[in-house]
Amino acid sequence: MDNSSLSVFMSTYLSGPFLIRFFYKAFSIVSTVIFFVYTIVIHKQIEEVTNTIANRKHSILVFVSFIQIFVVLCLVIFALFYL
Amino acid sequence: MDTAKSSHKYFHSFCIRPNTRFQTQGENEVVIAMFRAHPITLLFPFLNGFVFVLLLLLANFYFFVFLNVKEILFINFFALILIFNYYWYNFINWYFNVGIVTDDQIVDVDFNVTLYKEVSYTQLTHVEDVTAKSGGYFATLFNYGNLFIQTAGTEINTEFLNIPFPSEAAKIINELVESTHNHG
Repeated sequence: MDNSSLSVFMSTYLSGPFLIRFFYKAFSIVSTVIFFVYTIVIHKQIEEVTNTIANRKHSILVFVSFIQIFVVLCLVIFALFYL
Repeated sequence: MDTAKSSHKYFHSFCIRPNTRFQTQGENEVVIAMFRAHPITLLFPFLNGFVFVLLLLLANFYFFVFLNVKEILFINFFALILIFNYYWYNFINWYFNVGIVTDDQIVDVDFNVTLYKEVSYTQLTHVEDVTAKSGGYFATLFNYGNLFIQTAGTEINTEFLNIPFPSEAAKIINELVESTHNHG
């Protein structure tokens, strides 16, 4: 890599706005993925405890926790491909 | 209190004869009562969540001018889901932390969404003493408190925290213990 292309590379990829965008995207992806795992844990825990204490209304709780997983998955996809 | 009729008070936090079953329930075992923390204990998490919403609104006005539309959309959406999750976490913790009293045993379910789940069973014949304690401004105002159930020997003592009408609950358990001792 010669000096001119190196300076172009540095001015493009090591500039302030690019680095801010890069860290913003990286932070978004990592935080949504961690949150996604967390919602799966909640879903599993709710399923587990609804087996321990059974009630007709508990299926609503399991459904809401499942919806939450789906919404967070949408966020992960958004962070990965559209941000 | 009449324990023969089904009744639910304070958003199902004090239920008599609830339509609930648990995993290790015997075939002829009847659930007499079920207790949760008083719903007023959810007030502080509710207010916290409201403050988070206000902070998000303020952030939209002051800080997000530097970001593009996609980024603003993402942050808002993510923050709203986090706030919803905060409410959900507190609700689930409240909903699944229950004490169940049957005609044979007392079941204490201590549940934390992410950390642990602990279910302890105490036979009514092992109950030595039931104590209801209530103290503090909110507890007196809304009539809630703690119920401590002491058992014989080295068994774990059971406690139901912040339940409504703790003295009524103690009375129900005492009556059941008495009838168990008389029959046993």
